[in-house]
Amino acid sequence: MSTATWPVLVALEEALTDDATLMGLLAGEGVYARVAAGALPYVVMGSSTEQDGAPAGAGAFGREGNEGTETLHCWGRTIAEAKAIYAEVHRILHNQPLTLTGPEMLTGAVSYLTDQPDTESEAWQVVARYRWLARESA
Amino acid sequence: MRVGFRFQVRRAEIAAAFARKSEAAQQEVAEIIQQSGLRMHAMAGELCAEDTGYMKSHLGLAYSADGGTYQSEVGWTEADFVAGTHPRTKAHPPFYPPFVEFGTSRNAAQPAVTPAFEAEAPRVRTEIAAALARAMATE
Repeated sequence: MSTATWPVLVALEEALTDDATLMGLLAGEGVYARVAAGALPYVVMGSSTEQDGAPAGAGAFGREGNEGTETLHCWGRTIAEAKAIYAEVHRILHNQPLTLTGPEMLTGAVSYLTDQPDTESEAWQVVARYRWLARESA
Repeated sequence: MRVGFRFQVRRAEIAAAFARKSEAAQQEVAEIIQQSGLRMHAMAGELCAEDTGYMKSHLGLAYSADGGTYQSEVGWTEADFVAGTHPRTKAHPPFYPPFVEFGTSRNAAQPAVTPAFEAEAPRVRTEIAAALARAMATE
């Protein structure tokens, strides 16, 4: 199967920015790629991983499938704010497979990886992992 | 404090599958966990951000098989960041790998251990499942 990372990224950004509750918690554009260009609080879409032919169900029904992850950084002015943003991200994405352009997403799950303070300010981030399985469309 | 990822298989977790199975099957799982740690460490080393090389040179790998738990762990340990050892500061270096791995509000993350773990995880699952299937088939 060809890579699904880009369709997943596009769908992820749409799912997050289309949610009024989440966007109500964020400042400016709210969702950024790699590193934020605006004021806190915000969500940064970080690094991606993808493996071809993942074994855990992605290739079911004779179709090729891939497994991948996206790292989501939920930045708040306090740890409480960062956790509130993470809670909304979890609500939006966890067990809610996204509609992709091209491949078909089978599962999408959000997990809490860690949290840590910033070195530059009083801000905190919750680092979340979004794990997905996708296969080629029928 | 430490930052890292580990693959861990506890014998109790797979007791049902391993019940009455051979020591050879258990050794195969132990070997899978050990090899996965080596691959994860190598990949994380390739991906590790490099300025002075201090962080890369302190990327650790630990394997243990104590008490029926097979574990490979790759990452950084705060205790390894000791005074007088940093090539630039010579002072006690702060434990900065978490801020490189996960980023700060001004600097993008430069992950090394996270993608290495994610790349390795599907392979470990597949290999352990295959090892268990072989053990069950030889019953």
